[in-house]
Amino acid sequence: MEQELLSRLRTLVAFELESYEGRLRSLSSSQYPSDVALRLIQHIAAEIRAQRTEIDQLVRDFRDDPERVARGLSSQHRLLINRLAYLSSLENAQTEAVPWSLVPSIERLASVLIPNKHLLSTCTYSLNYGIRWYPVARSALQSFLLLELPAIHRTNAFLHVLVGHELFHPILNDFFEQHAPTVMARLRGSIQDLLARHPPRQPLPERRLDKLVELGRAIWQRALEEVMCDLGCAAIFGPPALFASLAFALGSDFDEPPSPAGQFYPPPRFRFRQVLRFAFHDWGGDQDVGGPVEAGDDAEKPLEKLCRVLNEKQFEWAVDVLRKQFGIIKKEVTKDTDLRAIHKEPLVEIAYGEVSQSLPSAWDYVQEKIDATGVAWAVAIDEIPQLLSKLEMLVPPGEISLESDPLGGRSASLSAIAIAMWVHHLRDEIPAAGLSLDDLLKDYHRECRLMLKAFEDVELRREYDSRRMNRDNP
Amino acid sequence: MTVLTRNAIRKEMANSEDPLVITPVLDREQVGASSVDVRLGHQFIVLRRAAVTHVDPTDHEGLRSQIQRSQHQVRLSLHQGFIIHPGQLALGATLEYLSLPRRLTATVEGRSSWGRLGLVIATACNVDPGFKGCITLELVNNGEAPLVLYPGVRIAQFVFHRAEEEADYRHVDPVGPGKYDCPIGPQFSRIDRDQEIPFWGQLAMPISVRKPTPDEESHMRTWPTWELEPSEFPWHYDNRETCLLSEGEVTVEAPGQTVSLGPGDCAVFPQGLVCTWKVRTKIRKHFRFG
Repeated sequence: MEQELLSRLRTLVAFELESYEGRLRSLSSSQYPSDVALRLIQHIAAEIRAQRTEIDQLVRDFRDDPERVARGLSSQHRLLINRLAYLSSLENAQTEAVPWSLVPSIERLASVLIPNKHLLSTCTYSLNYGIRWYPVARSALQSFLLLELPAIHRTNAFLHVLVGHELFHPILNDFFEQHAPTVMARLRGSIQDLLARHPPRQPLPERRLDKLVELGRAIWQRALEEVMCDLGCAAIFGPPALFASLAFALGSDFDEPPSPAGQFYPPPRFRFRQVLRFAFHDWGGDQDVGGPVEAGDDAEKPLEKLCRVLNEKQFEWAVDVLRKQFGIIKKEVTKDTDLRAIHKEPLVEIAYGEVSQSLPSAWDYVQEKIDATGVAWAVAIDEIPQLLSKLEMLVPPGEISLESDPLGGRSASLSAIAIAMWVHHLRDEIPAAGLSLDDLLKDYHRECRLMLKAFEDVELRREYDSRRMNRDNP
Repeated sequence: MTVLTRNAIRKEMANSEDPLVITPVLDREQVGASSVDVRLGHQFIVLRRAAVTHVDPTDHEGLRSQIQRSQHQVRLSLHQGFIIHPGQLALGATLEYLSLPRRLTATVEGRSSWGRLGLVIATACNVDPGFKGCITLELVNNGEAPLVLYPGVRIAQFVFHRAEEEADYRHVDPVGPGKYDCPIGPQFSRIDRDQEIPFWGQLAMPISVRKPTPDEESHMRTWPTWELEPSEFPWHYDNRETCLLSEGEVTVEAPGQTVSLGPGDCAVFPQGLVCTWKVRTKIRKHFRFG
């Protein structure tokens, strides 16, 4: 590189470094709902300081070895640019930008599912829930995960149940490492058969066998990963996982087939079907949606237990709401329009054949993960009637009170809060159809406030009780 | 009005029919002999000096913007201090969410421990039967030194009284809930929702008259038109109107002001204005509502 250009590169990198540091300093004095952001800032600042030292050293070596310095500066420039996304995430993680009352609960759930990682919750202006991480080698930033919530739904507590889906993405690597080789071998065989027997009905996206196999794997993995995360969310939050998924997908095409443009996401209808089939098989295991997956033992199934508990406490209306909502979803999944879309593309058809074969072991994997953490929704069913009683009084359902002592209480479980809120909300759905848009929104916002307050109180009480216990029992 | 003592408070909380609910009560010792201590919440509204010349509750259109620009929401985590300076007013809220049964009312009183440091709490003290939500606290530092407040500290107390008859804050009018609907933090003022405010603010509803610029006039001439022969009639503005008089002369009389308009005049009539139009010669105007 010419000396003049090298000098300009040096100026460019120095300017970017200074700008980055300045923004980081500014962000370090912002308000965040927890200390994760400040810890991330400290780590980034340490890496930036180290980078500055390296750049200073490089610049000193300029006369001796300008080519090496040029390569070094380019490399430092790339490193800095790769870290830009963190600045954006930190901007979007400030208290006013996120559903702050929910953040401690999300972090607690994450600490159970994904130990040894720190989760930074952010809101972005894309209509998507997502989780990202940057596998930068030898960087402390690897321990940080960035959870993205849609900013336009910041206060929409009902949809934030979908966080449960995102938290499963980072813990599925083992499953795919274990199963991918076998699946790829079968994919290779199926694709070879397809090519050998007759030309496919539709042209294939690739001509080379190895590329077709890789593409098939990508389709298989994307579909299975999304379904596994849906199942994980359902295992944590119960029926609200399905309700929130459905609500979030309402504006899109339930039968959108996997495509490169859509990153091979499976059709929403396909996903609902699998969740119903596996996670709620006691209510979704009809033959026409794939049959019961497990023979089952005599133990009471979670949905059965939920109905029993609600009936015992005179919440028959809640049982009716659940049955009706599941009926609506079952009606949707008995349509096969998504499957017909899948079967139109031969490669997708082959890949989805593998998905079907993988699903039972995928569900076992999800259940093992949940059983190891104790966050299954079934353990909190007994809390739900009391929370519904609170909601009927327009009281946030964050606390389980003792019947004999109105001043004694403990935090409610996240899943119980979500179930009570969704059931309470769905109860009024039909009567609300006659309301004006303003009144409809007023009611919805009120429900969101109650839900967010409940989540806030849960974490506060946990922390207060924990400190008091430590104080009383040093 | 009787004051509820400890046992009565507990009985009301244990009542299966429309119970008194305070949640969360982190420490049962918050229930005292005749009151319940409540804690400071995480959210604050800080008033600030901004480019706002005044806050006028009768200025329905401008009030929201005036409030947004002169108040700023802050949310603190646990263990973060909120500093309130001498002479400063800030809005906080109780950590506890209150659901008052229809047979009880409550008053909010500051704790004397804070009062002795100069902190005045809750100038709007009364809580109506049936109220549900966190109580907004008006915090003023009348002392000489800044005070540091932390979310979670016991800041005030509820004193409960039995009402003579049942009543319900949430159904004070046929429209629906009272102004503050299940709040979970401090709320900006909603004084503009007082239905009678426009009436009392008549004198504060100026009709503005000016000559538009040539560009403005060209644009206004594309608006719909309206004509009237000489006459006199009363009028109430449900909505703000901007108009350009292209022909004729008219005098508009409102409480405390009279304006005369001629060709080429642009007038703005504020929402809520009650006035009388006296059309002297046939008028033609271009108009727009909103």
